[in-house]
Amino acid sequence: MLIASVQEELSDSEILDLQARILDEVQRKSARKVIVDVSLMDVLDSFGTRTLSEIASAVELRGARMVIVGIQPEVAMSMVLLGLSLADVPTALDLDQGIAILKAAA
Amino acid sequence: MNEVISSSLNRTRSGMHDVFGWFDITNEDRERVAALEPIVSEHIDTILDDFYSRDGGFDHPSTTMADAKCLESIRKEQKRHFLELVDAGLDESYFRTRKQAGDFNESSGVSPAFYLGAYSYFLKSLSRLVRQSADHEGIAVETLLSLHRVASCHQAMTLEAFANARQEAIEKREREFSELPVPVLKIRDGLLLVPVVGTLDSHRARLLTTRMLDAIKDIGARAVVLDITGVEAVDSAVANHLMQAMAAARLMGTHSVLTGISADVAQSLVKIGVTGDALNPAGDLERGIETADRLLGA
Repeated sequence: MLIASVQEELSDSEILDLQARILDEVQRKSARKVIVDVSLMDVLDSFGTRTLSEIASAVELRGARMVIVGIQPEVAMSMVLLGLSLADVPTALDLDQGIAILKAAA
Repeated sequence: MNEVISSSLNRTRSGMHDVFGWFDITNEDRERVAALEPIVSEHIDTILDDFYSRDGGFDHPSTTMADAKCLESIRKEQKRHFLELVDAGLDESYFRTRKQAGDFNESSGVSPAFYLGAYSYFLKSLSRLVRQSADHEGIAVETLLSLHRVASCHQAMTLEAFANARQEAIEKREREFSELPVPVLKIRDGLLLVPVVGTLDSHRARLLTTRMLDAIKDIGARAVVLDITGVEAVDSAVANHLMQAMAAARLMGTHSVLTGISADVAQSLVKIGVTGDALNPAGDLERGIETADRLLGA
């Protein structure tokens, strides 16, 4: 299981770095489960959202599953107002629940 | 630039000259009415005493005025009001005091009928005094006609302010209504209930969503039941607000279930093209909670 904790604001290029690193690590460690923790981010724009879904799709192509955890209330609110639904990626409230979801799915 | 700003300010400030125009009030009218000032000052207290001591003063059944203190303040306001009529001013500042008069009447429960009744009594008494003091009938008639025009204008402005004050009171009440509290209840660990009552405008929908998301985070909820039994009408905007709230809950990893869709609401939802999938509906509250339990167990 791979846990990526996003520390704070990410620029667009840092998000792309994150994408590359997660996919590398998934391959290197043969990870079956990936959790991306965004609880420290207080904004998630359309680019970030799209990249997160791309990461999730790519991870899935590698035969692993990914859950995004810790989207904050304000972030969820502004994402919805921007029309961003992240519909194809499972979400969970926090790390514990994310782990529970992945365990249940396995 | 300054000129443009100040002229537009003048126009929006009152519309006083428009009102005077409707009543054909001339400077001569104003002078004649202003000349009555000594008579009014001298007799105003007697007139008001007479008015209140007769039937239909404060005893009038349609008056709902509360206590002696309130009555006293109304009487004082009336005196000021009638003195204002003969105050030569009739200028901008006078025009602005109409708003105060309207607010005063609205807040102390003076009805338009009571106001006009008292006014008519005052005019009747004043007319008698004018005829007594005038040198001959012709002058008295001219003066009374002027008085009539100015008084009509005075009344019109007060009534307009009356209506405005009432309108404001209604709007305030509507605002309060739309700010009904939005409770978010915890049914058991991990399960929240959000009963939605009244109209769901965008302001309130935002409040509801924020409250719900905060509560989800605080108690670590994994399922939310939104109950709209108390929502009278659902249009596309309201449906959209609900879907947004549910989408936001999902982003936080929480399942949501919508319950309490009445037959009428269901029909209007179908008409505007909202299907069940987006709202995850579940009949009544009981089945909604069952559905949520199943989602939690999964």
